[in-house]
Amino acid sequence: MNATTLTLLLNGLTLAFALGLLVLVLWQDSRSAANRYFALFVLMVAIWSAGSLLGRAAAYTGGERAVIRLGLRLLDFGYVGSSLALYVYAVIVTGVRGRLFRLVSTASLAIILAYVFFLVFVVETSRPFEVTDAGLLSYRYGTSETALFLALHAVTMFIVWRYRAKIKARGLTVGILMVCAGHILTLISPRLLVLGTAEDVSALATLIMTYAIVRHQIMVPLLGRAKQLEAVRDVGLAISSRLRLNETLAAIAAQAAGLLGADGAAIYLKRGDTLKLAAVFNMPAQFVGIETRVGEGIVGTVAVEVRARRLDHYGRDWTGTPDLPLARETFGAVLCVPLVFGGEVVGVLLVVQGQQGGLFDPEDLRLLELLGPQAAVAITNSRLFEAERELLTDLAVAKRQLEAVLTSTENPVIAVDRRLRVLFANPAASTLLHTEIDPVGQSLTDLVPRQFLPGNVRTVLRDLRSRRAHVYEVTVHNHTYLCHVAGLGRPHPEGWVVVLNDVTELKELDRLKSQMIQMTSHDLKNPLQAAMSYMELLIEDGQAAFTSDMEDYVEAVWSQLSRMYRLINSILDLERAGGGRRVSEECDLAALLGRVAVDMAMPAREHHVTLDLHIAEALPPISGDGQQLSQAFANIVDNAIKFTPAGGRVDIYASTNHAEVQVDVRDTGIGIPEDELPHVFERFYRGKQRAAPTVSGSGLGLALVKVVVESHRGRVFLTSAPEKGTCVTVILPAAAGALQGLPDAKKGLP
Amino acid sequence: MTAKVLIVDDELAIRDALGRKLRREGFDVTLAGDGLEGLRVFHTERPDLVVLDIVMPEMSGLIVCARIREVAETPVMMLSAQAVTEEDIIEGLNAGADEYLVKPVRLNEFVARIKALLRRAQMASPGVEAGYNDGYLSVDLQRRHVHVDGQKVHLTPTEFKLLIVLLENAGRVVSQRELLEQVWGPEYVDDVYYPRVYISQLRRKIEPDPASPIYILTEHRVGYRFEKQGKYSHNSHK
Repeated sequence: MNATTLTLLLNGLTLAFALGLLVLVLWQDSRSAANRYFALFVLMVAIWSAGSLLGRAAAYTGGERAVIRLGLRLLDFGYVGSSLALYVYAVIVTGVRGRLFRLVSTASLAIILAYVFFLVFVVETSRPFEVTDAGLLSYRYGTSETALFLALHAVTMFIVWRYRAKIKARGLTVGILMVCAGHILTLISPRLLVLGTAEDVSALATLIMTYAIVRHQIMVPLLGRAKQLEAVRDVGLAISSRLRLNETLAAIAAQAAGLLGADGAAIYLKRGDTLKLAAVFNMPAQFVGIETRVGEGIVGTVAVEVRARRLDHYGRDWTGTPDLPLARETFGAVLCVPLVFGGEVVGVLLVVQGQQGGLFDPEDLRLLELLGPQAAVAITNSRLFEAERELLTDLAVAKRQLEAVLTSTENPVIAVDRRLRVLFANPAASTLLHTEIDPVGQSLTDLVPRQFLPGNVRTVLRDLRSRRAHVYEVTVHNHTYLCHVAGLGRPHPEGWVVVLNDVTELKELDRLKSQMIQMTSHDLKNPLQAAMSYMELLIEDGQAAFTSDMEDYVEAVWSQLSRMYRLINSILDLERAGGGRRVSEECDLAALLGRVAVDMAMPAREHHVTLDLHIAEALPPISGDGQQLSQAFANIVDNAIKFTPAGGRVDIYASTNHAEVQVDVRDTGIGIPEDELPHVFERFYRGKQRAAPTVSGSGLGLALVKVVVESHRGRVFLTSAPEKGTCVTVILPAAAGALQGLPDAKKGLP
Repeated sequence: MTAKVLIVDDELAIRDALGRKLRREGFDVTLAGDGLEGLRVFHTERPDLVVLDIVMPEMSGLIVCARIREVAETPVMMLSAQAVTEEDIIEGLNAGADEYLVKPVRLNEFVARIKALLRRAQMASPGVEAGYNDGYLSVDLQRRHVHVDGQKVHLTPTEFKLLIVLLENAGRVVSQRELLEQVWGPEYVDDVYYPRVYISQLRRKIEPDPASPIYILTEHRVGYRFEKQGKYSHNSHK
């Protein structure tokens, strides 16, 4: 008796306490569906307990049957409601609900509640009851009701027990199981039912559950701040202590998984439109490297939305493309947060539970969002670092390659700074310098005798400015080197680099070639001299005796001898122009061209071609070999005359811009086909000359022109149109003193 | 008068053909087949002009020419197939040759050059009367003698002619072209390196210091000028 009163009192107090805590939980997070259903459950338990209390109190005090009936109705309503609410709550917290679960559960709950409400309050079919002698209220459920509730509670228990791993708060599991067990016991044993054991157990369980929720949702996170800080610090440490991006990411993944008690974690890196799996924790290593397009999978979606996502069951809740192989089959709860740095998504962090693993709650999400920026910073830092290191590696590789090339080359290479201190010398250069010690850092003037350095520094600098390279020749230990000097560093020169080419063999070959040509020409010229002389004597003596046929034969022999003579002379001219020391004198180009025009007037008359010279202005002097230049211009004009049909013209134009003199030789001849143009300056090249099969020549004339003009630092080119004519243009630089001399010359004029 | 010409060439066909042509032109011709024989013939025959091939066995034409120069001022014409560069030609002229022809040469040109060379050697200079004497350098036109610091120096006919032309125009610039026309002849005007070579040769013989000449001065880009010196301008005395 007293016990019953005490129990009821305790019941009431427990419930009140639970309600109080519930308010706290709802206030803390009322958006969570679980919390709302738990609130409903507690409300229902409260109604149930209230009804029980009312009924039992009335029965105990022998009160009105109507009051007892009211109590029983409340009890019934609360009982059904709490049972259903508990079932729904269990399903929610274990996360086993189907896709339409919420809709179906809410609807069915509403229908059942409405039905019960209808039965209890409107139809007023009262449950039969009796009051025992001890004043206890005794009532029964129908068989079908008993079976129904037994099944419901059994299913609830099964779900909670089966998925107990998904419920983090252990008190919650215990509470739910207690409620269900209480229900089942009372349903089986009428004795316990009469005693109201179910209500007692439920009230106690509710208190336990509420406490568990409060503890889990409010106290644990509060206590966990320190842990979070520690985690963030650990991530920071991971960032600073590991230099390789993959290691850093693996550490962050491990941290994230460990912090949330998750089964696995993965970090994707975003590059352009793809997300690449860069690090995993507790996942197959071969997943690393898998690529997902932005917008695909949950990671792609998160990267686009820049908003975290939380799923309770990946296989069920994610309808898009699966992120990883077997994700649907193996992933349970999933938490996915974008890693943002400077407003830009640099990656995605994915934390998963196995199918048997627990669920993630909003607190976990917040925790991950706290880690996110750290990870993003780490990624960005590591990327920068990685990029820098890659750059350094590339540089080192390039340097090594360059060094390998320079070391293995047989050409000595020396680099010096502006004060002629050696910056670099390859082994070939060291050998050449005969230096036992490392030449780097020593002054070139100490290492190398003065005569091996360029004589005139001013010339070197001028060459470097105008042509970017200065070339001179040096002979060391019977080897002749061509030294190419080039500036080091642009735009401000930091020094010079010298590359030496051993041209000894080339020089020797060149000498042999010249010798060969000289000997050949000697051996050819002596017989030619004799043959020509005797021919001349024969012509003189035989004039009276010759028949006209004989004259023709003699003429033919003479013309062949002349041709041979010209050919040998052309070869020698070319040899003379190409090799040997060039005479350098100041040439008056106008006078030179005048002499050429006079010399060529005769052949022009023979070909019935008009030859004219046009010099519009005073030409500056040219520095060079007048004889060679005359020969070159004569060759051009001779060519023009030869390939111009009778009645045509050959005109020589000379003009100047004071820095250069341009000479054009234009003819109205047969022209040169376009495909032959590139070859006309080659030695022994003779065009097909379809239109002039009779013209003879050695094919050396224009070759000589090119050699002569280029040895005078000039340019020569040729434009031609078949049947219209050809124009050969020669451009020669004016003598160095000509420019300065010009104003004085003008002053001197009257 | 018949001029006597010695042709030295190791090629029989060449010396024969050239000899025939010269005989036909009225010259008295002697032939020699190598340098040594050439020198021997030179001493016995005393020719008025020598034509020398350069490349010959035993003794090259250059050496033969130098030997001749040691004893006589006979005009020498070099005839070479070897010449390739201007340096080769200058080398020949420096050996004392007055003329340098490159094979193959046309017979008519050969004859014309022989005649021009003889004319240059024999022609007395009419314009200059007394010659020149400043105590250091003296030139005797009549006897064709030149003394430098009391020593007689041998000048080739061409060198002597060149000195006379410069003397005639003392104080005035003589252009290269004028020199070529007056010393060598109008057909030589394109052989522009002749004056350069002979001037330097001449300076070496008469200047106190050939590197900084005081008699024969170069007028850059124009020509040369002979500058007479005062009697006391040298530390030498007769």
